[in-house]
Amino acid sequence: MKYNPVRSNLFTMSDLFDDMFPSVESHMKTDIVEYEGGYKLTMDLPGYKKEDIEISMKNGNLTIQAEHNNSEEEKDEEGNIIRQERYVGKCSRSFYVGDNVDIEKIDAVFKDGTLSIELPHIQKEEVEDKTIIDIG
Amino acid sequence: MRYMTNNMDLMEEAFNHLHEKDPIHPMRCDIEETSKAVIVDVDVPSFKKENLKVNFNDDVLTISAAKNEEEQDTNYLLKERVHQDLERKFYFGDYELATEEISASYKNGTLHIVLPKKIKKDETVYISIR
Repeated sequence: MKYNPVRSNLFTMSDLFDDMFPSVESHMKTDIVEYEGGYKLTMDLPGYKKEDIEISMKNGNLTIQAEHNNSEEEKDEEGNIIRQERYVGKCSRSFYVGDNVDIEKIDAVFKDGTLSIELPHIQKEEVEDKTIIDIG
Repeated sequence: MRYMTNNMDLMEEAFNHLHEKDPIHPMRCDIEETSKAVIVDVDVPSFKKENLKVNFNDDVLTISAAKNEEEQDTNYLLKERVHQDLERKFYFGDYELATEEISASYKNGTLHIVLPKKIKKDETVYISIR
């Protein structure tokens, strides 16, 4: 954190919380784009593997959860940490997308540390109102 | 403490950050020193391997990432991700590194760089027996 002489004297509750729980906005950076047929969500999850990510939908809420599984990671030697900015651990973020999303057609791809999710709207089938009645 | 500075003097931060709320450089990094090497892990999500450049010159490690992405006139409801080219420099003048042997790999949006230390002439190197 940058040194700020004014701020350093004011130890606020929010500073305390910021350090204890880094905000999801800082390590699950997300873009959401609305297009004609639905939403497209793009989230940065660098360092995670595809298997570490879980996406779920419930009551119109889309939840993305990621957790590092370090079990297989090879570590020869415990080094001296000089700098640590990357977030390691479990994180989760939810977005309310509403009921107008076709759950069956949600498509997710994870590539180069970025998760892309397509959430198409439910296509309302155009019901033909016209009923032709044959004249007997 | 998120900013930890050791004897490694970092000549970066002459950079106007995109988000004032986020005082850390958008290229998040972890640096670890072992007896054999200095290991740098840098997060550059969504960048393609071809668009990443790592070079070491005059004790400075430079990592640059080019987006090569055409911004479309999209309707953003939320925009937190970085949409620009990035660069970050680290000064390693306090270390004697075997610059010929620097290696880098890219996986899942994280660039892993290993900067091996030079073996000093008077240093005893223990070789493990297999």
